[in-house]
Amino acid sequence: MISRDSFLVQLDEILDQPHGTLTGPERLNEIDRWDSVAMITFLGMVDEYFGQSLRPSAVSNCETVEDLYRLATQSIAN
Amino acid sequence: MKAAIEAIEYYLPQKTLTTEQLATERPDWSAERIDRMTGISERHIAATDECASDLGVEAAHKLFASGAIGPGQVDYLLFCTQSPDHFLPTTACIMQRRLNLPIDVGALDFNLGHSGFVYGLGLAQGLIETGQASNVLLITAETYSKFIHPGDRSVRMIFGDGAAATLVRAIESSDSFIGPYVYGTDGSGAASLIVPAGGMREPRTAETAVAAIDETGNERSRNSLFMDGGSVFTFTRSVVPNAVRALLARSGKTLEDIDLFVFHQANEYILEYLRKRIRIPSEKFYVAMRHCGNTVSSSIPIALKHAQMEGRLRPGHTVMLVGFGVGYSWSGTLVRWI
Repeated sequence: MISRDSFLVQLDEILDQPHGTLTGPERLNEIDRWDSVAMITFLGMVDEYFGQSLRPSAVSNCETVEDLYRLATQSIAN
Repeated sequence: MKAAIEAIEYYLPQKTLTTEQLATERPDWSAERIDRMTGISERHIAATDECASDLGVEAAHKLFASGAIGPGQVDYLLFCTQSPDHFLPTTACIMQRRLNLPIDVGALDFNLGHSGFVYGLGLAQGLIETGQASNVLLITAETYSKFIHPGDRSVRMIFGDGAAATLVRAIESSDSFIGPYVYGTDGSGAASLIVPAGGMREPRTAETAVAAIDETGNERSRNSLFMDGGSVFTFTRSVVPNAVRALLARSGKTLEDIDLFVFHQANEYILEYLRKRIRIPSEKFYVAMRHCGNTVSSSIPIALKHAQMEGRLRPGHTVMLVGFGVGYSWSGTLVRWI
């Protein structure tokens, strides 16, 4: 499992933007590059770093970057 | 008599769509990002009047020109495509005439995508080892570009058109060259990769041609190819490792016994994900899609051809093939290369 900061850096890389761009409250529907390619890469990243096989529908229900982090870590917490 | 893969040739249409060209169409389509995510530099796109069968005929002509076999020696034609010339007649019948195959050949189409090549090997092997045929011409050909809406980046960046012609021949041997197999089908994934309209279930109308932009910014109509990338990835990451395990168990082999792994060339990101998950050493995991993209049922034979040309696949090698995708459908087998 990686830290929240590292999670945000990984997501910045997926979205092809400088590290430190994302901080958490960003709305996913306002990020142009949050597309199907980003979604797949995100699923793979969470699988690799959090050991979680997320359902795409669960990811689609997330509204913010913070929601994505909570989703990635909630199964571990449970 | 045992069936073996004797020769492969492939054909790509002349027109290309490069990643740089894709990137110039929209400001948020970065060439670097597309390249990083897909591992594809260019896709070949069939001309307006160029059908999958045309690509298949060209691939077969290359096979004949290589000297591997002459058209008069083929006694069975298997044509794998999801883009037939017509609803009827069978496109393979039309190709029989175009290829000057004897009239006493068997010929049939079968409709599969990414799993099609391995299914085709299974069919060819069955025909040969039951004495029904000796020289099976297995042609895979696809023109997904004709289903893709120009505004749908999610599929446009991945798929390329192409065809492969594979000669599966009867060889005098007590040992098998192909097999065992694993097959799988899960129709619950039908809607995850689909062209909704144009078949009998939903004929094309003025309404099905109306395009709309979805929540991810991709545009398509019901006449267009739709792919739910997230669902297809979820399917892939579950099914493929299990198929590899089942194939190894069925064959009594371990990962270390396999000389080369050639999976359906979906996209480089997914292939690397699978390689790491299954723990296949990178030097044994073959990828060849940068120059042609995801060519659906031809992706495995094209990769095999390149592996052979590069010396990565040599006589005596055991290669594992796994195809997976539209349907959902999947298939895997081991091939001893001759």
